[in-house]
Amino acid sequence: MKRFVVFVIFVALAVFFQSTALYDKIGIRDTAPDFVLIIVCIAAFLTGPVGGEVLGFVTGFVVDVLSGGLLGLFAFTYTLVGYGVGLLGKRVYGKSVLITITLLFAVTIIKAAILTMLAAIFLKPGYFGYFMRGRVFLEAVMNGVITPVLFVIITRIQMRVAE
Amino acid sequence: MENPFRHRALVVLAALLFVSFTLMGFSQSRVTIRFKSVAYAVAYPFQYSGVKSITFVKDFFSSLKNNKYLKKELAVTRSLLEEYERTQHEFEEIKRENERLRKLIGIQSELEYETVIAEVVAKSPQNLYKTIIVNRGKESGIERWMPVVAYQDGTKCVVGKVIDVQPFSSRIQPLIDQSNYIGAMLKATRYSGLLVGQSPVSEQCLLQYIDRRADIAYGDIVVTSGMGGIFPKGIPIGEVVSVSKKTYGIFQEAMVQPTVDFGRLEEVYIITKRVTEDYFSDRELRP
Repeated sequence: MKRFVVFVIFVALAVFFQSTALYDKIGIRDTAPDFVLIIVCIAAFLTGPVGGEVLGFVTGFVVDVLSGGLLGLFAFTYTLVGYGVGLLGKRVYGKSVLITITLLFAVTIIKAAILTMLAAIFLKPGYFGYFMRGRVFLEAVMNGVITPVLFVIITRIQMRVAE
Repeated sequence: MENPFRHRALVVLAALLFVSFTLMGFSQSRVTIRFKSVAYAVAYPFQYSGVKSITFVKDFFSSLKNNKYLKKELAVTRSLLEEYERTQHEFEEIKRENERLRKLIGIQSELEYETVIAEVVAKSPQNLYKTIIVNRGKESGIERWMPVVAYQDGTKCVVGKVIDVQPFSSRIQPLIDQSNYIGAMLKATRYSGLLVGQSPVSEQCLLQYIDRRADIAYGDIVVTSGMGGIFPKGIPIGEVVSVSKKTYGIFQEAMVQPTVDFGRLEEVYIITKRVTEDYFSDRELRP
């Protein structure tokens, strides 16, 4: 339970941080890493599919509410991501940093693909172009690079909390 | 042996996906819209405190860093203030004279609206949407569809319009949002068109349905036309950055770079102008 609280705190911080103007300033070419996605993935890695999907759903729902956009869009996406990473997590956990980077790269692309699909169904067609542009790949690289660092920080905090 | 947890995960996944999909499916229903509004009212205090805490930490460190610079800025500001005080008197004189002359030649002065100053509290946590949250709501007399402007580098510019109002906060849809339409015109030639946001694909806006006879050049200023019932006439929107004139059709299009810089938007002015009735004629948006 304590471990899960750490994730909740981190994910809340990520959501709040992404709501500040500071978040836009850290980006390159209007693209910044998705810290919320990264933390959901790390949580899924360490807690498994159930933990990942539940945290993904709650986080996505909060993001939907705060965005004022389509309710359920990010809840759906992060739930799927949380489940998928949770399933894979046990197989690839601790094997290599490169695998973690590659996984987050792939997850970001998958997130964009899910959002694209949902946007095509529920939103205006104009949103479709957003996910097809190069910024998705840039975000994927950023997410992949940042994840190992955040992974180390979160696991260390978790160990201290557990002690 | 089969892992029972795997099935549990699948069952939970199916339930959560079902809930999410249902929410999306009923996104346009009044119940969902109301639910979203109530959920946001609950989440706002947490978001406000969280964002304010992060901003406070950031401001604390940047203020330490900028101390020297601020002292210099203060000296410049003081001298500017003195200059402005001197010109203020002159301005009042000119304004009075202008009003008198307007009366003499029978022109009604432009309607001026009251504004409410609001602080930008937060933005959407995902770049997919560009909505902005400000700390003024129903308690300050804010209503849905009120126009929002800002002053940047001494210039008034369009920011967007209010799309959701809570007791102490409002959500603003920026002009770059692709759901945002503004009646606009070219300041120099007075040709009008319809400005449509392009976000999240682009941070620029597209000015559509401009008469193809209009001569449009790079850098032409685009202002609100006053048509559409939301924005008063003549507020600067941006500058033309490219023109697309096809060999057929009766219209041409232009890409417009908004004047407002959303990256450094800290305060906005909500014009307390109620939307005119014709805005609702073909919409089910009546508050």
